[in-house]
Amino acid sequence: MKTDYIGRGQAAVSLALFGVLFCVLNREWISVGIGLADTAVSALILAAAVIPLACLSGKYEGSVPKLCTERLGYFGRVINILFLVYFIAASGAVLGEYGRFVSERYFPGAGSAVCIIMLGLICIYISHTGAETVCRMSTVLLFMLALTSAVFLFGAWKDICGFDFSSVSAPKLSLSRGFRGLFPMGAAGCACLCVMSGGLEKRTRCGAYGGIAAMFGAAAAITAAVWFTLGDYVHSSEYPLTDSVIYAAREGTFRNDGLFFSLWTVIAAAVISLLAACGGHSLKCAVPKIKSEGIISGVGAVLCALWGTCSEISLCRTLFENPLPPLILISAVPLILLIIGKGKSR
Amino acid sequence: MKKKETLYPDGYCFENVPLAAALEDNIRNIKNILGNTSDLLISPITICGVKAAVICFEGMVSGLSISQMLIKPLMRISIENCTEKKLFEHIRDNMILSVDTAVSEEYGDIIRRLMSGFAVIFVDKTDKAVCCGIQGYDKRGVDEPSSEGNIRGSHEGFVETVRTNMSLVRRRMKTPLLRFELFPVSKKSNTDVIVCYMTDRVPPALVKSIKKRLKELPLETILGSGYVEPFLDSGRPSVFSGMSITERPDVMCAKLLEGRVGVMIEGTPFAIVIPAMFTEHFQTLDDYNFRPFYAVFLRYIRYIAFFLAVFFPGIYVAAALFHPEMFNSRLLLNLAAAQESAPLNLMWEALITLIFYEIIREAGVRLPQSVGGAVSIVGGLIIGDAAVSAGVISNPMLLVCAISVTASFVIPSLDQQVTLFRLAAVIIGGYAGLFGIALLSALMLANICAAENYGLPIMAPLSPFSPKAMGDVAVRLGFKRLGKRDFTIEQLNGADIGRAAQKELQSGEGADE
Repeated sequence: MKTDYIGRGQAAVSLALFGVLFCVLNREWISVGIGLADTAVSALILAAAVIPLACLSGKYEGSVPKLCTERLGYFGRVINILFLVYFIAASGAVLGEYGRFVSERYFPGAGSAVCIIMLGLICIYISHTGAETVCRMSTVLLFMLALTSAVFLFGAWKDICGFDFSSVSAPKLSLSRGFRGLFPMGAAGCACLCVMSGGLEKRTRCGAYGGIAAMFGAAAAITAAVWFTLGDYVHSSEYPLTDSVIYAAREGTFRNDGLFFSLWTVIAAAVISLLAACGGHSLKCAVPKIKSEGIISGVGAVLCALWGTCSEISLCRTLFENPLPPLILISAVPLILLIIGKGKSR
Repeated sequence: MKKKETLYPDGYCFENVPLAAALEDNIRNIKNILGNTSDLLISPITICGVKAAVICFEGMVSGLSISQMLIKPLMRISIENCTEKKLFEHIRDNMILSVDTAVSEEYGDIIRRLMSGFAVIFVDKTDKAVCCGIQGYDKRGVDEPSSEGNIRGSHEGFVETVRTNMSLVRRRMKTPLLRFELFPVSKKSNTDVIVCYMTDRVPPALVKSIKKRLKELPLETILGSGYVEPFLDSGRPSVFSGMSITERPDVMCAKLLEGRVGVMIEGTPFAIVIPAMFTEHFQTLDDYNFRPFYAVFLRYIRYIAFFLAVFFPGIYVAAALFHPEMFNSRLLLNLAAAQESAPLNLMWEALITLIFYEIIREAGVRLPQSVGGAVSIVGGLIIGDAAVSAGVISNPMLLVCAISVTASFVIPSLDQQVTLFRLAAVIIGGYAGLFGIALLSALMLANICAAENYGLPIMAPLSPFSPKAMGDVAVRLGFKRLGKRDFTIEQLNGADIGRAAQKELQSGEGADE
């Protein structure tokens, strides 16, 4: 699975999509000030967590799973299996959430399992084509995102102008809240950086920090835009971003929220596929002889998502939301590799 | 070479067999190899008392040229104390019978030249023959390209003869850096293929790799560019291709200047250009002849047309069946009224309309042009009108499908892909609404983004993004700025053509070993 040609721009844009998807699926909107503050804290934690990764990738060639196999032998392969489990859990959790969102808001005729399977099949194909394909998709999606944002701004301009900005208060920053909200999705994106860093060469730092900044920017801008549009009605909405788009589209001759929904679905497919493709890469590094690793990882994600719909206790959701596993993978593992040293220097 | 069986037991054993010395033996062997075919013309002549013969294929050489340029000068030869050796050397060294003259010593080469329109002169007691290129076969004249029309550009298009095509390109690029390499491919048909490129712009490994693939083609014959295309695609299987097809010499020149390789095949006017990008489907020669502002407008019209061609019927079906709230209320009432009398589900209505259109189109293409026009009238107007009057198909659906089909005419090079995805969009839109359309979009986008040929992602320069190339993708800069760029596709971000071609070569060698 190719990861050698992922540029820093592509990595940054891919992480921005994580921020957008977080806002689509986010149901807990406390207040505009707290939302922005928590997002900023999450981004700062992630920025600190990727320091070892940025140092490692700037110094040595190859993705983190590849370096693990090369330097740590069997222990490295075990770490790669942990990467795989985390990526499958994360992609399964996001897939399950998105399936539920589609089923509840746009495709009520079908159960969430049907939506998960349909989206899952596409994601399996995309993850089979590799992380590089998803990164290329992300760049195209950025253009579409810009276009739809312009449509949104046009529709919601009156609400934005009429918003009482004095009502926004600066809250006290909270580290514990920083581990919630954007953090799980952002951490999954940063874990993807461990795989994408193989192609970033000495520009890893640009890719990583640019990506975190883009993710924070996207999440913060959408958080603010949703509040400006819906105001206090945000609390009574199940999916505030969707409702704010519908609200913004009310003045148009045609309701254009279908355009946004289509875009979010493509973004969801890209994000889930990227996670699954990174899982596939980890699997390939753990078991080099394996073939169709992207498909295996994608199928794992679909099964996890389906399991989440059937069972009340979702292991993959727990793994995805717990901050410890991603922190170990994006900080501790690169730190170990950095301390051990003696790799193929750039 | 005594018996027919020993000469060519598998039909092709004569390839490297040297010529015999005796004229009779040579004539008999050629007759044996060719099975005494009816179009083989053997003219025995005696020059200054020495026996000789001129051999050619009927219809492959010009009758006038052979009598004026070969027979007449040969009959006028006067050599004192003429021997076979003296006669042969005189013909070879002192006579210019045609500009394309060669000496052959093997049957394989002789047969190939005979079949390419050469006349071959044999002299008795000489194990060599002089081949004179006096091709005079019937060929189509240079004409307006049928698939790439334009308003202000050249009206010359490629023809079925590669040598003519070569001259069409050479006339536009008078530089020693432009190279043509002609060689036969396919063991049985020995089809002439030309690989052309600019030496200063193409990585040598790319040319080598393409030539290697062409020479190793496992095909018995090549009757069109489509035979060769799958062997020149080095990326993973995709609906979209990493190479483009052109019928225009001017387009070919532009592509060569950007560092691509052209492949022209005898018998087809469609030349292949490798590698190609997706955005090129939206560029035409007229874009560079029109004023930039109008060219930019036209380009965006094409982007919109592509979207309409693929998704319009699908989105209409999805929105009408699953998301009617998307329509404005008046339109919704109109649509509901039109749909009330239609007996079929919207999805089936769309499918029937589109498949019926494909049938009419196919009939129009296959039938003679005079009848083809009548088919369009009967199919499009009479049957369409009758279908609406009978209430089988509603008027809005007919309108939507007509807009989509008309939009697809704007990008003819993507016709196959558009047709496939349009039908898929209708089906998935009918079953899964906008969610299905979005999934199809993701699939299509991933399919395009995954495709690459010789290290060039076909989605370049959009993704990987190359700001430098945007001057001819997002807009069309004026020539004052565009002409200065000295752009080649190797400069695009993410393009690694040389290394990919080198890898191809090495993997091929590895497989050979």
